[in-house]
Amino acid sequence: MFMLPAIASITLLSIYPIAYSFWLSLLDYVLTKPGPYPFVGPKNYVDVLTSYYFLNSFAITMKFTFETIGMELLIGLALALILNETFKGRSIARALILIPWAIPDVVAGLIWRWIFNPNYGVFNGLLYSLGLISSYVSWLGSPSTALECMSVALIWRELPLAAFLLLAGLQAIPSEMYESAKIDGASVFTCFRSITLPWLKPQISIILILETMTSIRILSLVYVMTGGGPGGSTSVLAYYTYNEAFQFYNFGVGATLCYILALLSFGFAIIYAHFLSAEALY
Amino acid sequence: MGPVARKVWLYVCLVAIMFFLIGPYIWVIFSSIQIEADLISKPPHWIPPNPTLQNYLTIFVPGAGRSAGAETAVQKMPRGLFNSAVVAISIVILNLFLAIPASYALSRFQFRGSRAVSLFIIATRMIPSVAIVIPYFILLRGLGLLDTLLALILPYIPYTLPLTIWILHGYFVTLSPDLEEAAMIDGCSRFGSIVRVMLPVAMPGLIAGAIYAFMTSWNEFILAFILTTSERAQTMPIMAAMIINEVYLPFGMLNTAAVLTSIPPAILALFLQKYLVQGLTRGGVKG
Repeated sequence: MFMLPAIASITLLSIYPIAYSFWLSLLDYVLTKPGPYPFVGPKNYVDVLTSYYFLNSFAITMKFTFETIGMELLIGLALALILNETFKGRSIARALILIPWAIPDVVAGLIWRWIFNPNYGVFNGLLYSLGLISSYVSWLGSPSTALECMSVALIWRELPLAAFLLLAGLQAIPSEMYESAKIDGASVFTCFRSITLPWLKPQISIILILETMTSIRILSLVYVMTGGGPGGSTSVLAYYTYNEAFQFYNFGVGATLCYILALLSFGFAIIYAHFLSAEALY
Repeated sequence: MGPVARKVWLYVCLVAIMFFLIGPYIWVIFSSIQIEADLISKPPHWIPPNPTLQNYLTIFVPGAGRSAGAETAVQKMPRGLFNSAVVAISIVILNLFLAIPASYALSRFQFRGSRAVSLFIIATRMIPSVAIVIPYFILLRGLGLLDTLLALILPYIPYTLPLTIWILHGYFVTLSPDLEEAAMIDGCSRFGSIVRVMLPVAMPGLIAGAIYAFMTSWNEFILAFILTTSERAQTMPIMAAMIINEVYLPFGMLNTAAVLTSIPPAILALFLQKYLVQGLTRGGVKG
């Protein structure tokens, strides 16, 4: 009885649209064509999975995902280890650090778009003033750097989350562990490898799952920073999906891509859960 | 490594990471209080030479706009802030209204399938918002509800509710049932005992849940971007993103819009950090 309103609203507003979306993925549903839309079965799936544009987007998305997650874990761990120490100004530092994560991702995109601006951006200004570049560079306008710029923006936004989760994990490690290791003469590095890392396993797996989902679904940053360009070099899966569905109004293919995207997220979650401690998830 | 060298190292790393995390936001605030002529300089002015609130005035005071271009796009923004506030506050109220009984039931009654229910709630968190935007577009179009605030409030309920339930559940589980039993012996009904005894103790969880629901719906982009088309229902993040489509792109306005869009969640994060981090580590994580 207590559960009913919540369950009913989630079912009606989430499960029903998802089921409907699956039905759409089996139709040749192009909004600009007149209906009724013919049932074509798995044709959309076959078409999508064999198309060059899909495979290209998939490769870009994977590269982006591994880059961002790797850096988030690495810098996040460094930041968590620092914040776990006692020093002056720690509480102020902890409050300020949350800002990039709290603000809308569109704003993160706008901020970094302005920083990487080819003519007036502060990134160019900084490198130029330090003498590292001799003339301003169009970072977002060149296929070799545009994706990396987007990675920086996403790492910036997601780093606080990774750091705070890892910090919570660090604080749960009983200090006797380190004390007894010290008595046994273990080095700092050995302590880190055989105490810190194993204890952080649950946090690391949560970060892997959450951040993989975030990176795989990245869309707003692409829309604001590059619009998929230059030359399709930042056309990640979610952006490709958005284009098919809302630029070409091909809802059948769009729904198909949504399902592939969702299955990909689930696939990663299952793989992580299998290799890392599954009971740590929630 | 001696303790002094260790401290020095610590501060160097901290300053470097803080520079990366805080620098860009400060830079955007600096850029929003400069006139266009000062912004387009090579190399940039590290400190605003002539700080001014001109850009903000252009948005909030009709007719005050002297900085050229994008006036119409910019003058819709107060309405965007209003739309965002209405949607986010409605979502907070609906969330608490639906999540309190649900999470209480999950933590108290060992009814059949309660585990299945909690798994169901977690699983719905994993569904990407892109996956529901197409069906929502078709359904709302059929109902004539596209470009209304309701078109945003409806999909935001399943988008935020699972996390709120999960955070509250994390609190209710830790509260001893003895507490409410004592209240019921003293003559409270079950409902009364929830309201008078459990809710006050679970207050940090309620605050955390409310902040998350507010931030998630305030920040949401994809659904709002596709389900709204005009200032009738467009939220602030959409209007901020739309500025990049202006033929003449005023950088001052871009930065001002970025600041305005991010101020409510940034302030929440700064001042209610304690609750956010508790909710993050105890209940779950923003999706």
